[in-house]
Amino acid sequence: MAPGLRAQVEVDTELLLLIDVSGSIGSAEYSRMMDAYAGAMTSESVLRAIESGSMGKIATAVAFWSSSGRQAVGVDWMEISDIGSALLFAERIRGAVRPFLGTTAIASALNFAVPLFGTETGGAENGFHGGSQIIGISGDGSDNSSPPRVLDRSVNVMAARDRALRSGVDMISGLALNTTPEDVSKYYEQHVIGGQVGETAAFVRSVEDFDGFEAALTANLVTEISAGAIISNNQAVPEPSVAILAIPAAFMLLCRRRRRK
Amino acid sequence: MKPSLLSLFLVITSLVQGATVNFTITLGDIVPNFADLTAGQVIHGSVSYDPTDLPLIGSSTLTPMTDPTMTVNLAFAGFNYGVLDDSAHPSFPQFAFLDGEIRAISYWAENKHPDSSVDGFLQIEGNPEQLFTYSFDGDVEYFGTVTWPYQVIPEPRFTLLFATASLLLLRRQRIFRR
Repeated sequence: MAPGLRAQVEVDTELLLLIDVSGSIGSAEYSRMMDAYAGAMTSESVLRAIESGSMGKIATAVAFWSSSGRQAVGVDWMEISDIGSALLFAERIRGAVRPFLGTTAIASALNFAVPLFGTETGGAENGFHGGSQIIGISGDGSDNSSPPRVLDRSVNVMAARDRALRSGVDMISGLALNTTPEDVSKYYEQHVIGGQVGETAAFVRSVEDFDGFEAALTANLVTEISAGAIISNNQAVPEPSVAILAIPAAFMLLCRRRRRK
Repeated sequence: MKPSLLSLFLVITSLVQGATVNFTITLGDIVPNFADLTAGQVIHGSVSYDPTDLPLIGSSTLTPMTDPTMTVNLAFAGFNYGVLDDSAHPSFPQFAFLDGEIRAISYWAENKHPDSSVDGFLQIEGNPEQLFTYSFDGDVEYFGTVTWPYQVIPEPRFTLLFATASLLLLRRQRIFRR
């Protein structure tokens, strides 16, 4: 390996969690969200989903976002393979200091997210190589500040989504918080989510208040991680062409031996 | 004034006046505890524009560059906001139309309230769902819903038809008198 290059750890899935921390999310709600992410990642169902992959491990990172110039990595990429590593993630996300408040710039958040996956999406090496690259985005509003300013900023969001998918992100799924007057779920469905991992198409789950946030998030994580695990398991099965070649070769070898006898 | 001249005056006035659309903003349950704002408070505003060149079918957009007569009238927290207050004037505000009816506006202005920092703002955005968002510090956002009753006063095309019909009627009456 060339000096200065980090070794890539093979994982089933690289999962980037994009969390809306715009000003409409209060400080108490922020704490509840961090608890929910900690609780969901350490839940039995999520751990089972992680273990179901051929490698039994994922890489995950957390990025906070709000206005167009406000995005920050809250938890850097780390491997999660068991309860120990999941608890470490929980500790890190609970300890993540809210970096800012602000407006809602979904397109800018997606643009920020794409290169974080590393070489798979044209970014700098992040230390992991996964079979699938998934963004799980949560938020409570439609885009109101991604540049350029246009009459309908959902155009910017759709362009960012399409760019992300073209760049190598396999799926963007959503968790919509319908806590403002908007139908955020519908907005996410129409403008934010996209792509698919295997048979699993991009999806949105929604909650009406923070009471249901952790359960919905857990369900999202299970779906996302399981989708990546299925792809990984399919890739781990020997290529059928190898088997097809091996059988006639073995047969020919047997015939040759018999002739010699 | 002669009746024919009156009709002509009506036509010109209707074209110059343009169309006025009133809208209502209802503030959400959470409001900042200053600027005398209350939860559920109703704020009235209006926009006006020149509908002369708007297509009857299909979508179109007006900006102050394409319609210099465009106005926005919004009184919020004791201050008035108009077209010139939009931060991106004259490219904005923008009014979107479908089949000649206004459907959405994009408006963004700095919050003029003395309690607001330089980052405070108010905006009407979102298409097709219009949302009023405002902030006094640029960080904490508050919301309101925008409703458009589509009360276009007066209907310019109706006025145009009415005036033309009046002119024709007057001409006919004159012919009969002769």
